[in-house]
Amino acid sequence: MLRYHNRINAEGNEKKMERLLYADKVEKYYGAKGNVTKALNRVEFEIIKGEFTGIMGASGSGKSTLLNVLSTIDSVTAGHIYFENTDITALKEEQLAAFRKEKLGFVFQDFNLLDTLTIEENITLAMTLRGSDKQETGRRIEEVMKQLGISEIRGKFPYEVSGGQKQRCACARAVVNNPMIIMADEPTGALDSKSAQMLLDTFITLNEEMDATILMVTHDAFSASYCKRILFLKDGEIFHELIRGGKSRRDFLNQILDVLSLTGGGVTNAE
Amino acid sequence: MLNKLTLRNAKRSAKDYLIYLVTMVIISALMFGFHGMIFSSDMRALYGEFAIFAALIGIASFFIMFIVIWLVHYMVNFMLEKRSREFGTYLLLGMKKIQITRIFRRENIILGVLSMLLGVLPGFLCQKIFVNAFYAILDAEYRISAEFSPWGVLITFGVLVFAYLLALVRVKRKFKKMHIRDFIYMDKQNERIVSESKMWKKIFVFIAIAYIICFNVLVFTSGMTDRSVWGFVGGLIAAIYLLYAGLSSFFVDYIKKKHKAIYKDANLFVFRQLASKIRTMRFTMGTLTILFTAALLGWTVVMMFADYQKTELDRQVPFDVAVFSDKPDASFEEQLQVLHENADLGDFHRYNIYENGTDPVNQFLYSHIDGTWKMKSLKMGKWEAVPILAMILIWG
Repeated sequence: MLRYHNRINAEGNEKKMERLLYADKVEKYYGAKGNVTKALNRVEFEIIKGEFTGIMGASGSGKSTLLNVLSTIDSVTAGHIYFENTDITALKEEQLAAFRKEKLGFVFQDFNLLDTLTIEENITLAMTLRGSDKQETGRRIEEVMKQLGISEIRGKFPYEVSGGQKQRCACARAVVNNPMIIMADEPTGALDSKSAQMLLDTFITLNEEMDATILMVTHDAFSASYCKRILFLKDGEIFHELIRGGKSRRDFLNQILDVLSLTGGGVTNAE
Repeated sequence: MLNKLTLRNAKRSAKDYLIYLVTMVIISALMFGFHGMIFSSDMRALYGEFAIFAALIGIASFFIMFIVIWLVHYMVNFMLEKRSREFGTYLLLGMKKIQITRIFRRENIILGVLSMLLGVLPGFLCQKIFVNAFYAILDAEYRISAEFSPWGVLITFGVLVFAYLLALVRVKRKFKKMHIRDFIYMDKQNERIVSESKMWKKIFVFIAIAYIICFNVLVFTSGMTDRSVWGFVGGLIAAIYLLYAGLSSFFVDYIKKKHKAIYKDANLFVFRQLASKIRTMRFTMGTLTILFTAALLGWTVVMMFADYQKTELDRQVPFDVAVFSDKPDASFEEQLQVLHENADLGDFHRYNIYENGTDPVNQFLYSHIDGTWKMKSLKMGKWEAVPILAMILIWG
């Protein structure tokens, strides 16, 4: 399998880049005999290290299913998913747990913070589960909380802070272990426009300054315009791809809206 | 960190599922009460005379044990479903299933121990109330004692531990079979819109009510035989479950037919709420109704027997003291004097039974009144009949 290949980067220059993830003809069916829903149909794409990729599509297009299979929350019906050179579809449960702990970071629409732990403890837990020592944990948490601007609310419980602050805490938890990729499922879905913009700026910071690879599922064109590359899903298939390249965010947003106007509402296949 | 998480989760569960904690405290208290009674010296005094009580308490404890096992199982599974997304998050963070099972197990142990400890004092009071009730039924005098039975506590503890172990072993198996996706999306299972489409089920309500009415008529007219009663009781249990199985459809049908009543006040909301709650909890409600019915019937039978016993005693032995003599002309002055000195005498009647050398009155007394036949002859050293030639009956 090719580990390095050529890709035009954000500045429009062609250069060798390292492949992080490769989805190889991934299929996912739901249901039983007589009522099968094809959620993903031979989806094939790759993600390069350091990319900020968006997955867009109408409701029921299969974008969340795709994120679920990529993040090992769900299994594939057919096909393979390679992280670096490891086929994660062949991993056993214990190995998957270790894989998620070591390599992945998650950000969800409804935050998924543990409400019995404070903001700081939520981030700490992610590190202690990995077996990091106390000193290293303390130093790293301090650093991440400072970067994401949540140091002041460290002692508060999730129900005592705003949605935006919760999501930044979720981001801090996702990045604290320096994962290979951060998977975000509609991360701005439960936020007001100001908090959403702050979160997206946070993603840009994570991507550009901390070199984090981000894969974000969204149906919101504004959020998607922050990405460097967008895959459009319709009826479980990738039907279009947009690369921001050197374009401004406004131009990129217009381009996304043009594509969305072509797709309209999507429906899943039922066989 | 995991210990802190466990403790805080247990604290939150105690708040969020307070209704279950309170139920467990009540159940623990009842168990303490019943188990304490088994070992209570006050009750042992009663068992000596009425061995059936020991058996009855044993049966009651046995049933309570089943209720505890079912309740703990239901509660633990309910919490698992409600918190499945949280467990999914643990898995996403990289926790192993075994770690999550351990956290959940410890949380439940904390809650179990808490409910047991909170149940000790009310349980002690329950025991005193139950013992008092038994003494009251038997018209015996009872003085409240501070006797505390460690064996009762141990047995209750054992039953609770067994119930939790059973429930947690099942949870462990369930955890093992579940995948991360099942945890994350388990709490969304109720988002699926399921309407009670089987309207024909409403017929169950009418069948059940008709059966319950027939059952009551048969009870009041003594229309059941010893053999058929079990079949009728089985039918009653089935009718109760059928009633709950049909009620949801009945209410939904009522709403869909747009009767006048549903447009009055908040009736529409009430009927919809009833339909949905009954649909979700029909089995639980059916089981609880059966248990309540059994408890009510049991208590009614006990009261009925106690009343019957009192009535029969008053009818057959309508006096407080009977003194017999083998002398036909006994005056009983000596005995009366002693009784006058020691008690308030209401009235007394003296009978001279010996009349003509025959013994029909003696035979009646021997066969009807305890104590007349079983008089110990000092000479013979064995139980035998003593000729009663005179007697005095005294009322207090």
